[in-house]
Amino acid sequence: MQDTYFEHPAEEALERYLLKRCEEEELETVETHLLACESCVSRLENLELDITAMKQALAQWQEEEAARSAKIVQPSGWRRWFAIPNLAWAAAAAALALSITLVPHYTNLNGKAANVSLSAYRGLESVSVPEGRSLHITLNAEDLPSGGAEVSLVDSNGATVWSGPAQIHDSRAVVTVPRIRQAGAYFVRLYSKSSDGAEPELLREFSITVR
Amino acid sequence: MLASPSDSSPTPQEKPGQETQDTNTKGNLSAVEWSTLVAQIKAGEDAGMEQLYKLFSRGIRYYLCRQLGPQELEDKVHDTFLIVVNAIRRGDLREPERLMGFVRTVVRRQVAAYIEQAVHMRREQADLESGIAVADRKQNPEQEAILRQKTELMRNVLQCLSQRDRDILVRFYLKEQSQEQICREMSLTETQFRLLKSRAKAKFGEIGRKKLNSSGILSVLVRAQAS
Repeated sequence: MQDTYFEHPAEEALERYLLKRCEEEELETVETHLLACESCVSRLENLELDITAMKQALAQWQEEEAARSAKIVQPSGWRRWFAIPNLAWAAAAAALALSITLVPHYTNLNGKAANVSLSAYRGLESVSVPEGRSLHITLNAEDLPSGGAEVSLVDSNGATVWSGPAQIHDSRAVVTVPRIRQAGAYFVRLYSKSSDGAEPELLREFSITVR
Repeated sequence: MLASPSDSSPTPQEKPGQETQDTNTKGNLSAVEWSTLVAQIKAGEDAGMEQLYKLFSRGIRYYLCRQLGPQELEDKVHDTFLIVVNAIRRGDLREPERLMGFVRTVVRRQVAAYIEQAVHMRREQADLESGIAVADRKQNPEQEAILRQKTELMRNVLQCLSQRDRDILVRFYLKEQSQEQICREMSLTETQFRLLKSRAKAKFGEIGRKKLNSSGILSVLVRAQAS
């Protein structure tokens, strides 16, 4: 009986639907209701906008937070009068000498990888990633069998920027992509593993914007 | 037996001034005479077709757009209705009360078929060209403006929250951690978690209203509603 489809879903259920966190039974109920309920589609559109705004605001906040914590604390005006320039220069020279010797051995030039989760749904959401940082990308691989796969990153002209192997496990595939030097639109493509010379099959495509 | 419209009770969460969706929890769906509707479609009556379209067009359009993007959306919606109507006429839908679920099955199959078709086409195109044309998925300017404004409001809200509250939101929305994981790792009860989220939303609404008040938009809207 479709009585269960008549009730308007609670906001939390709609949120779970948008975030793809519904259990199968709830997914069926919410999705079926939405197909026939204009008002809930409006609610969902508003909620989608709110969630996207929330994600963007949180991402911006995190970036600012990282920038704030990385900022060197400058001494206040009166303290500068008491600084000893010669010693400061000596310390700087020592630090430079040390960094020339040690830094190349211990520093990953890409810096800390940015974590990115991508889903193939094409809603309002556009995933922004930072320019000049390597990316630790988790791709949604729901409904795909576990096993080997190939991932490639292409620019908006379809030119391959990077490609590499990946493993699909627990409905996810995780890859680390080297830093992207140029801002713009890119696509991450998940392919089946090619075997016996057969052409790999395009399984999913995800959109990202490098800013 | 389907409930009559009068059986439905008002939504408890609804407040005066809130966007009115339906005045009852079950909306208008419980009032639909499914067997009559299906019989009318079978008989090829315009009234049945109209009602079917009125009921499902917005939902189907939204679903297809969400899953497949805005390209050729009208054609896809039209195709879906054709499939539903033809199937009903053929007698594939034996229980009219299951029409909603039936439409869902058809729409999901349509989405799967379009994706499969797109994948094949792309592969063929990739053989012919070095570059693949990429569809424009940008939002329209109005949506972008609303999103910018909402993001700004959200940032104001985030400033009002504690670091811990912000961490919870980051985990849930950005890192996509489950509610269970967040509660476990941050020693929260489910109620505390839900409270935090609703508190953030309430703040968002409050700051949004203040902004609207200060810009005078709200008073214009109120006057427009009253007139």
